[in-house]
Amino acid sequence: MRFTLGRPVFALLLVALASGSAVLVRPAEPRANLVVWTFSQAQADFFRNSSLPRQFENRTGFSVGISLMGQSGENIRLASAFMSDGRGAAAPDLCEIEIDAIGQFLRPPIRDIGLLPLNDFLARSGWESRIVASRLAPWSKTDPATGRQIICGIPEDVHPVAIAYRKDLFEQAGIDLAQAKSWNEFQSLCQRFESFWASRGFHDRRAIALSTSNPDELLEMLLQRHINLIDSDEQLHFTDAKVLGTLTFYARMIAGSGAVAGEPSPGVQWTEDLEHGNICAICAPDWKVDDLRRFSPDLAGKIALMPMPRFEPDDSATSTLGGTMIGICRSCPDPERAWELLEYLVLSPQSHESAIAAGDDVLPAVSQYWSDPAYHRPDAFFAGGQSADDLFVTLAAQIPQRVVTPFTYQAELALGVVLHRSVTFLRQQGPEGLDDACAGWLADAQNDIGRRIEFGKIEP
Amino acid sequence: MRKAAIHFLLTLTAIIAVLPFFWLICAAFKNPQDLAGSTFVPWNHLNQLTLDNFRALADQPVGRWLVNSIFLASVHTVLVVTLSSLGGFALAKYQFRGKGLIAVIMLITILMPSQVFLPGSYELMYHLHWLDSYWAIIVPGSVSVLGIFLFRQAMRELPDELLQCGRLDGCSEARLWWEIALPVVRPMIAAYTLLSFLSEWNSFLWPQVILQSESKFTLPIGLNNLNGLPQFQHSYGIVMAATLISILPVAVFFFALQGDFISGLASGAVKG
Amino acid sequence: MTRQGWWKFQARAAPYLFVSPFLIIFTVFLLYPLSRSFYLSFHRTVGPGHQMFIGLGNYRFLLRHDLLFGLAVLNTAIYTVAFLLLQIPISLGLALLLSGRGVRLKSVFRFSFFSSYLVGQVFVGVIFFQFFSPGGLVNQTISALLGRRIVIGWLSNPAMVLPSVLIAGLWLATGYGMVYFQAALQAVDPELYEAAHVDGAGRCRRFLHVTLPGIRHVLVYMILIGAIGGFQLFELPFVLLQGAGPGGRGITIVMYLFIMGFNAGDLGYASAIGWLLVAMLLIIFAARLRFFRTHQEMTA
Repeated sequence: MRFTLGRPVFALLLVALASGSAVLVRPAEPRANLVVWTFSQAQADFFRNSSLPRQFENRTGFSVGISLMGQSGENIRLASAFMSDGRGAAAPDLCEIEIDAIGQFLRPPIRDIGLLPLNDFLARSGWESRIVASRLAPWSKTDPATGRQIICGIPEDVHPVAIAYRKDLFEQAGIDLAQAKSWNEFQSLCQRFESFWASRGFHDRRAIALSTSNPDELLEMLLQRHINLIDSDEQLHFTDAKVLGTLTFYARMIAGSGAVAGEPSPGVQWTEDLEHGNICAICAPDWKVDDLRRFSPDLAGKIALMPMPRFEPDDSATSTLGGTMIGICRSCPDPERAWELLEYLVLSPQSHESAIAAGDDVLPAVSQYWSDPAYHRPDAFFAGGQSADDLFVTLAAQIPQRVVTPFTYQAELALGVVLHRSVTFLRQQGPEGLDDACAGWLADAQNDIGRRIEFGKIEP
Repeated sequence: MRKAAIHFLLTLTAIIAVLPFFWLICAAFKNPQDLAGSTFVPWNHLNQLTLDNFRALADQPVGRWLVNSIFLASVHTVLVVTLSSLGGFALAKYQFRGKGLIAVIMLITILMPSQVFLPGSYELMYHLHWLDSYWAIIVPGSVSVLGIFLFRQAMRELPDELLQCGRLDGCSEARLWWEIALPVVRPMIAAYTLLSFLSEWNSFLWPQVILQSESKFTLPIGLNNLNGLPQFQHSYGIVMAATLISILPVAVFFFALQGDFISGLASGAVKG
Repeated sequence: MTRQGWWKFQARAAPYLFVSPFLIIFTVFLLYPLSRSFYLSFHRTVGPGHQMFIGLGNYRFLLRHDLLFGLAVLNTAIYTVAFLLLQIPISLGLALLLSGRGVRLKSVFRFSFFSSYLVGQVFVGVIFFQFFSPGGLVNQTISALLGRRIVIGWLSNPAMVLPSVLIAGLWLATGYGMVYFQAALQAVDPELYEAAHVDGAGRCRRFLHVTLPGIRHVLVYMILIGAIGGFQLFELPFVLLQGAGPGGRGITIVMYLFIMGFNAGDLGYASAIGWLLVAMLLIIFAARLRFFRTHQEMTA
């Protein structure tokens, strides 16, 4: 038989039939009573491998389904589910959202937000006082009518930031980096470090990793000074004197005569920078320290952690980077049960024990668990057996408050552009006029973002 | 002399073109230490070449992703070739009203980036109860504006006398399409088959948005999830092994069909 | 109905029946979302069922005030022009080389060039992310060639972002162009070459007056889809640069659309960006068609 559409199409038809039967023969997955969406494979693995879902089902009779999807996919799907007035199967019961993505979900008026306000649950269950208050802020929205903070998500972490550095290399240079209490002291110690190693032929050895291509570290510094580019009253702070000061200091750490910083390698390759001694210190939240431990076992005994230096005495000695929340979707048919599951998976002592058992070192947002001895054991990975989590627990008590608005992403993008311009200016034209130029760019950024916020305003 | 120069240039360019693949293959078989140690083949550690990366993949449902991708891509291709050749035939050989307007609208759909369709499409799927269902991928995917344009171009060449002869013989229009038009454009069909299989095989955004059950995921979705993990970014040997697996079927398909593909392009797509 | 009547009916109904499956699916699954996006572009969306009609507000802001959009348009335009200026000559050149007589192993060469197209934008981004890293393949090759340790910040230096994306994009697409051009070259009537040769035309004249006109259609097609692909570029830089890239130099129009639509959550704004993109492309097309038509008239 001559198949008119041709051999290839005929072949594909056969393949389609064959694979189709394989696909159809698959048993349909039973829909669980409660569905949880997450974007993080680590979380999905943790939930599934732990006995938590099974225990929950045994206790309540409700089965739990964990659904993993790519982060952008989850955001799109949640946004669309909320948009298409998702009453029904489109939205899950519980969902995890990352801090960079929460802005858009909190944009609508309170009654239209797709996430269920959790204030009542928190008050009734007594968890409200046990969760670090400043970590509730990113996931909340102020009700313009009553001034109340409407909390839409439960934080799963704190993510305090410390400085992780190659203690062995600093000691060889005769420097005790932990002595530096202010950023100026830190910079001069780093300068001594670099000239020491340069005199021994290591001309490319940088003291600390500070990125020009993204403003994460700059934002960490601003945050420790209690500055959010857009604060919870939607006021802009680009033109704050402190922002200008931090920006010029940051630029001068990267370029010019006092430069001590290098660009970290992208992705998770920054661990290699530390391994090879190309860059010898980095601002590390607890999850980055985790990565270090996992990917660079050769660094055992060489790394130490110290609190962040300060600009001024009332700055915090730490900052925060990243964060995940878990929340209940408004369309969930059984919010009480969903809250029970949420408590169980994320807040309960059982959840905490499972996390410790799984070797998860990320500090939870529930401060009472910080006294767990597992967080205070000496750790052979760090120099002198320093307990990383011990330091993080101390720092977690001073976590500054991070505010996330629907326009924060764009504001941070704008800051990144200004940052890059400042570094280029410094490299090409030197320190003269840097302050004025930066002030001008920051003012432009403030105008631009201000216009966007005005434009994007909705009636209350 | 000139021939030698030509061969040299071609070989040089071919090496540059294939180098990333060679790197990919090497990376897929190296253990994590060797990944950093050597660029291509770890000559000192040849005995340490490992299948571990592939074994680690076995923990992931890669086989299922593979079957899903094969299923979706082949169904898509069969449908889209059929519908496009039908539609292209009609547009090429018949006069009917509204052709111009249809052409302009179709042009706009090609120019518009696919992300803009997402909200409306998702809403539609929600109302049709096609969320997390393969129907949502197969049915909208079965129309391709590019396909209709290509087949229209190819079928324009068809001499009208041939069709008239058929009609005088009492052929129905459908038979004209099946028995006269299609054989003439068979090379074009081969070319377009490959292109549309390829585009559906690599299709990522829409399936990721629409599919919720992991057992339904396709290769790009699964592999993208893998790539997002820090441990896979670091020991990217596993990601490379997975990439290798996802390229293999298409590569085999193309290699087998090379000749048809080229003659298809030469005859159909190329002549105006 | 008589047999003849049936035949007449189906003869007349056939074209409509043939296009109807296509048209129906097209209308429901493509036209509806398209028109929805058009409708949305005149609104500001802030939540489920919460849309505010703002008329041309989105478009006005985009064109007058949005600096990031301007940056995106600039990046995209530079990329597309550079891409076309490089891809067309390279793939045409390769096709010419491959079409020469006496070239052996044609199918092997062809397969190796085309194979890069099989991978898809996302994986090209993943692979080249490794290549362009400070210790990656590209820096290693350059260091080996120059004898010193060279570290170029391909992905961290804003000046190098465009070349990085360009290289990755060219690697992906050149083989595709080459295959098309090779097919086109095959289709050029050899007798025209003979005639030109007899007329005493050298290789250069033959190329300009026989080859180029002969492959005119494919040339136009390649330029058109290259322009569309360039303007719609998104996944490759997004994966390669893990976002907007240093100093925002990696933002493309569609990337900005994606950020505004699915990160900031304003689908109306994103739709407006999409329609502006379509308008830009239509203008470019109209200009091209006019250019080619006059060129044709002049050379006819």
